[in-house]
Amino acid sequence: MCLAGCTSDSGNETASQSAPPETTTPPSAGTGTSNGGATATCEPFVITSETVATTPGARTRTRIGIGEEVDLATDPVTTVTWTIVSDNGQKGTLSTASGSTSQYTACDRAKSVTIKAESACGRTDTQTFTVVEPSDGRFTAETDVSAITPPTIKVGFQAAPGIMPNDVSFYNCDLREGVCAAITSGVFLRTPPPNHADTGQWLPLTSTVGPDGTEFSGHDTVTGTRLLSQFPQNGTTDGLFHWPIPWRLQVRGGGTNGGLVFDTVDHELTYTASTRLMKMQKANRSAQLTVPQPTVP
Amino acid sequence: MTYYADLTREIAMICLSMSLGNAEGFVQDVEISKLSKTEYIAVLAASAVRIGGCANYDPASAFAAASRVTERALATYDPASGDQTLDLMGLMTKYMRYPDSSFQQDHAAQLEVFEVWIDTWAKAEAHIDPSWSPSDSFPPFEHPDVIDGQGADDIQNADLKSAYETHLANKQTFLTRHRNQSLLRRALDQHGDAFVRYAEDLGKLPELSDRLKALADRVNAPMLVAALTK
Repeated sequence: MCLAGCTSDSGNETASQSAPPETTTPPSAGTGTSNGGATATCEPFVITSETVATTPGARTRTRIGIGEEVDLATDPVTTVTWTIVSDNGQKGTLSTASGSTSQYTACDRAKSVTIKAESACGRTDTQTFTVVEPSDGRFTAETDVSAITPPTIKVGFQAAPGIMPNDVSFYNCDLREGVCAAITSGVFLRTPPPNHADTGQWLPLTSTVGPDGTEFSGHDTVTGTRLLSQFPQNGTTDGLFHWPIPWRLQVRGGGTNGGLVFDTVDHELTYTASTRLMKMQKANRSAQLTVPQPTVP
Repeated sequence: MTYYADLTREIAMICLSMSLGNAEGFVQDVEISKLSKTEYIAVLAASAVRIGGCANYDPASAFAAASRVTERALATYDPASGDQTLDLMGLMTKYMRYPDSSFQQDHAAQLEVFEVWIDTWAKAEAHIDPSWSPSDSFPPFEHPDVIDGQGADDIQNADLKSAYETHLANKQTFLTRHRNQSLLRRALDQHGDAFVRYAEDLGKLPELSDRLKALADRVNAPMLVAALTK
């Protein structure tokens, strides 16, 4: 029986639950095949795995991000029963429990998860995956958007958020910034200090994994805009505006990790009176400008 | 705790503490009125995967049950939704098969299923906005009395507050479109190979070639058109 589709050309089986149905030679009767030519003889086999994500690194990696999907197969092609060892409902899912292939979708918390394949005659093999949670939030290489347009000065940059570590993919996850209170002082003092608002919705990550981790496709524009008149000639007052913003991640669709807060990303606008330097920093990226001395009328 | 979150936790237990009959009953008893349509499709998708991947159930019966849940999703989903399309295409490429061993030899049935696949693909393509770019960004609100990213409630000046609220509303619209367009494209990228393989396999049957070529008129993706017209 090959319900989900298989191809079997010259014995080079590429059965897959996601592949089209066999339209060539049906499995021979009496061989015990039950998955488009997959053998049920008692030959030893091994599990092979390939991440759905084409980056980062080799697709045979077994260190994977939460929610990542991995295609599993047996070599040589063998009909097996697929199970998650000690499944408690919190270790991810398999797309199918029977056949020569399956797909594992990782759970939404860090864990070591072992997948077991067992053939009808009792041969077994296992594959263990290390499921990794996000560690910290970053930004990709920034584009400086700072500008002085009297009566205001704007300091900041544009860049895409990235999620570390960069040796796994979080393409199947959503990102969100949370609520936090501001800390303000000096020339940036605000009373009351404004809270950072929630993003309002979950933002999908992409399959691009660069040096700064799995990237969000859109760009965040991080700027601070102030009146030039806030910075008097020979002023001695520094300034600080700081939001410690919680970054949250969930496997797309929700999952059960409650929107894991994995990092606090510092959004910080500072002013140093002695150098008249205004600097905007968020995570690992920053932009700065020297505030010009006021024009004497 | 929301109803959706409760369901998510129960789905995780499908293979462990529910018989296959109970699992299908669980899916049938989901109260659709308490969920958004996207949540409902996500529940169906997660349930089908949990059922189809459960070694405690008879494989053929589990696969058939997962197929039925997939058909339920197919009858309910909104093709304009990127989330729902991505979930549904994932299910289709895994479970959208007749739970019948004769399916392999029933080429008409195979083609009928593939026509459903193509219909879903065509609907997804129709909802892709060519004017959208993944690198689009929403400009920040630039005003010396407002820190872009703050809530509107802290702004005292009524006119400024109103302008900022409009900015925030427009930003939500932007982000909603961004998500939807991102996921529609991802659905086609992620499942395109399965569509091509299906088309190429059916293309080996000379009697189907004319009907496959007719399907090619409905889609735009070059690799799929090539597979259908080979």
